[in-house]
Amino acid sequence: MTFRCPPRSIIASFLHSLPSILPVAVVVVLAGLGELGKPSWAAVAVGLALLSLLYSPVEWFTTRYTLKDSGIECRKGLLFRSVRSLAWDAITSIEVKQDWSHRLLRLHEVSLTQASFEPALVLRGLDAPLVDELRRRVGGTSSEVVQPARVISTIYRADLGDLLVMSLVRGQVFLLGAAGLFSLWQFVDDLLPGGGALDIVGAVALWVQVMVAVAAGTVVGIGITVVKYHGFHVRLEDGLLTTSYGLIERRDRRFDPDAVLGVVVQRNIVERLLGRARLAVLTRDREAELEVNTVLPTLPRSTVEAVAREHFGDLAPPMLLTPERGLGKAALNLIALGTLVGLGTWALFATEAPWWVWPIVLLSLWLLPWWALAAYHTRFELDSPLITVRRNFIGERVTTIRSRSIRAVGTGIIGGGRRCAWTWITTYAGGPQRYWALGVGREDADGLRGLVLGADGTC
Amino acid sequence: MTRLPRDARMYWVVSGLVRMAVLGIGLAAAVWFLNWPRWLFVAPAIVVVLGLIDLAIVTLRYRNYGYRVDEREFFVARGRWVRRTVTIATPKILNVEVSQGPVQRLFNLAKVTVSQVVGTHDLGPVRPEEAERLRALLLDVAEREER
Repeated sequence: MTFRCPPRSIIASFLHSLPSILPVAVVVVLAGLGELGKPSWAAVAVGLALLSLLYSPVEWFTTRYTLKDSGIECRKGLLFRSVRSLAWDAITSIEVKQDWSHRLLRLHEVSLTQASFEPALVLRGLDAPLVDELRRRVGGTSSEVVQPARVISTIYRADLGDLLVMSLVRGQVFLLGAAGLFSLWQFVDDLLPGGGALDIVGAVALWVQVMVAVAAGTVVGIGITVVKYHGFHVRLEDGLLTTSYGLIERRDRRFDPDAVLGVVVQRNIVERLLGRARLAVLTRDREAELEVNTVLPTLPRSTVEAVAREHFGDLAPPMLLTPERGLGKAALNLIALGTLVGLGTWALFATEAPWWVWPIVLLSLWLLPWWALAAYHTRFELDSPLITVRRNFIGERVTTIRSRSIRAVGTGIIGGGRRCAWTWITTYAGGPQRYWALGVGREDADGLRGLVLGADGTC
Repeated sequence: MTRLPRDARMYWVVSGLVRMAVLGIGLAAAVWFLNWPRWLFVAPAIVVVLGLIDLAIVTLRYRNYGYRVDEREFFVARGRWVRRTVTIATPKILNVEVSQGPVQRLFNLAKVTVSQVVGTHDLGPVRPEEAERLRALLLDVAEREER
């Protein structure tokens, strides 16, 4: 079966690039009109812009896909032709996205990924039946066989309340809100004539300005989170774990169970306070992008633990999160770090240090003790064929991976002590990672060495 | 555990002296010719002191450096007061590099660097023929793992 994407994918491509191209195009055209009759840089730019318009149709015309029993083949190129083949068996995940232009024209972007960060093949502008066909093929079944009705069992579906909590608890409000507010401010400032918005704002009392800014930031942050994670749905489709979310840009990700190499359960200090946690999976292809691999955003910890045990039982350690909230210890660590930075700031003030010293000193006072304390509060738990890395510092992060993912172990022992001053392990669970811990017992270090060398038969 | 060849000590001494001279003289020259504050002469002084300490413990370092490389593991242990070890499963090693600098060539030595998926680890200096033996062994195991 050989096909091209539907022709309307060319329109989708134009629409998608419109917001970024239009302002530039308007400026170029206006500048060009002002100098009509004279060859100028603007005319050259217009010519180049017109040429670039040809890119999408040419790409569409020269790209063809072939679905075979063994895999998918992509032939493309006009001057430099290429053929890329992917075996169905080698595809570890299929991700379906829809940006606003695709949603408008009912098209999809499908990313097929193997064991790497970058998708091995991206098909832009596919119809829904073709997406289903690809999913069937990647799932290991042929389209010639009549498919039974899809069995869907929902694990979790976020409602508006969940998204609001998620926005507040995970700090999305502060990150997205500040960025959104800044963009909004610039837009308003440019829009108003004369001295811009500054004149109007300057007339208002400072405390009102601050209150309005905080309120606006919160609203913008919540708004962006709700739009980004709208309809967050985790389900089992024909036994495969699937997540989807997004209002304007829809993401749909399906996980091959064999590609899941580990699970991460974590909670920040606010989530500790509220008794909540989140769950993500480490897959062969996307370890570095936990955001994409989030399975449960932020839910009561009992729900997270139940889902982890039910769906990733072979990867869940006997004790997922520590039983108590551990708020006292977390708060103490936070206070210790804060005090250190506070003392540093005071010293910088007292010595009237030059401005360039400030970021260096403050970052060092924050990051180095952070690293040391985090390593001090990290423990390795061996439970063959799993290893659990438990970091219980300000937040708690429990990473459980298959022991075959461990690649190397290093230790440092000072003065022949009974414990290792430091121990590190390097793992590859979809991406390289090094974990450090301080004060690991020698027996445990030997156990880690055993895991690396395959003493449990996994290597 | 396999020990390093005896010439490793002389190599460490000579390379330590060269490093100390280059760094110390370079820093002192920078302070002198670039008119940096005079108290910055403490930097080359620290380099010299650390270099001398490094030279003083060469014998100790030699005595406490050992390695074991076979089809199962790549194990390196070094240091006495601060004992550092690295263990890698030989089949997980991705590639091996044997390098020889001018000072190493002077003493007929070479360094072996193994790369795994997260970072690299050094071994040596060892004799070039031993380095070549290790390279062949590690690559042979890696090839078998690929198959």
